[in-house]
Amino acid sequence: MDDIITTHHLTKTYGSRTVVDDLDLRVPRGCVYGFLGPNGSGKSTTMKMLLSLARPSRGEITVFGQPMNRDTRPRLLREIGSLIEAPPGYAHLTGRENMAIVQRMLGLSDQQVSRAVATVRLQEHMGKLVRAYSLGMKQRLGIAMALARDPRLLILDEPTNGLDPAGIEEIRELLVSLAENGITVMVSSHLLDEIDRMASVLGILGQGRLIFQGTRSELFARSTPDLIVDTPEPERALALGIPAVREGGGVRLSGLDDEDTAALVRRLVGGDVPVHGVRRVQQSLEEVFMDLTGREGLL
Amino acid sequence: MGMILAELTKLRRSALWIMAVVLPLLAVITGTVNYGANEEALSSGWASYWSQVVIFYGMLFMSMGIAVMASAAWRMEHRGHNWNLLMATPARAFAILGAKLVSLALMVVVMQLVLLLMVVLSGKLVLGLDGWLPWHSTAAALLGVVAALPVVALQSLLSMLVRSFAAPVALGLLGCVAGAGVLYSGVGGVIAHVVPQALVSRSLSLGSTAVSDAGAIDPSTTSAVVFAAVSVTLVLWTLAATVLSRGDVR
Repeated sequence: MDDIITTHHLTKTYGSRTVVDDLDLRVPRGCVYGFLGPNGSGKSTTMKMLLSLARPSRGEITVFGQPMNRDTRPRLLREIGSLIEAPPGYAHLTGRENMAIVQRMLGLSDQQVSRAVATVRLQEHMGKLVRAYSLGMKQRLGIAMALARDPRLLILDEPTNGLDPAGIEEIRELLVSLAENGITVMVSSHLLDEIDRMASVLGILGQGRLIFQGTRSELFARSTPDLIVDTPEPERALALGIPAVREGGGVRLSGLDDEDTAALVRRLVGGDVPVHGVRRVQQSLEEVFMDLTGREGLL
Repeated sequence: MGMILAELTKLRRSALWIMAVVLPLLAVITGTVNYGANEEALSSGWASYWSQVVIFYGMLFMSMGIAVMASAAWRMEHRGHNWNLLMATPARAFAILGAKLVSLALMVVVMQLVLLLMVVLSGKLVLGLDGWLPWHSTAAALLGVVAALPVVALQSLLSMLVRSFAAPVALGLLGCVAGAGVLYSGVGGVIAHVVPQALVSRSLSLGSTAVSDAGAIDPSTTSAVVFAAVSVTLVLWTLAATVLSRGDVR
């Protein structure tokens, strides 16, 4: 699978503050790439640099195999739809007039605009002023603006912010279907569950650094599954001072490798704790994520 | 062309149109009141009346109107994350700014047409003046559109850089004070042609009977105004495009 976006040592500093630090991204063609990280981890700044809305302090960006710079920017942006930080829109104009602005700026046909509006199912509301739109409608209008140019790459920064569960589900289905139709979608979120249900490749950012990049299964391969010790006497086990928590008919321990597990069992048996069973359980994605990001404030 | 059409679409239902009508109207009202109150002293008919209208319009109203319109035009981009939309288009900074300048210049054309129409209506219907507005007054009004381009470019640059609505307008007011100072202190020459607000005052007062050293509207003064206006506008436009293309979108 070839890569639509690659970055090499991508760094952004504001004064002495490093917001994005030495990022090497690889966004494969035709996937939904989930760009995950706590608020303030540098996701928006990274996306802005990918769109040439912010200048990198250091490093290179390649999009569609070409370097993103002042000369190539106009050509590359023709094929990149984006929605950064929040949905754009001129509030004193109708949805139709907003789409007309995008159409004129990009030289699009009526069909391209109609198709984009239909894709986000906003046809019935195009005559309303944008100031009267709900947040969900504004998000859909923003996505329609991004889609109208028939992009090969879609870069969406938190597109489901403020949406209700039904709206989130709708956007999720839309993005997955776009990827199935060959559009590469890079979507950021600080909401793990949302990304987990649509992305086939994950990039996890923490304090400006890329701490993981790969598929979901690769992510889990890096984590150590928790250990459940089934015992009718969990209090006795806990009294031995093991770093465990009660769970159901036993105790649960995290981060133990095979040797640690063997040592634990010996200790329990030596302490006359009746051990009925020992089994591994996979951590949830959220737990893996929290471990990776050092338990930064994740919503 | 597409960028210009997009800018013109943004002007729909915009309060900018009110400014384009109200400011010339204010100038005509003050000019009509002044002329009516001093009709005996102001004996030159249309020429005197026109001079009364444009003396404050050229010095203050027109430049301030442009300042407010530029602030309002850029406010649309500052609000609602529209900068990201604008800068994620393939258009280069020079074209993005050019479209904004053209749309603002069109508003100035509307202002001047409203001014001429109101002057004629008020001169005929309120003051009952004989004959018609002299050709040199009409020419001065149209030359005012060209002379206003540096003010458009300057206020556009300020409004692009400063997110506040009021700050660029306040700076525009300072510019008006500086422009009046340059013009009436008799500094003249190059400075009177490079201070944008002074250039507007100067071009609108050409042929005026209210300003002693206004000068006539002839090929020499007209070409000097046009050359200065185009040069200063290009410098400010290029400066704005450089700033826009080198900076980060906030």
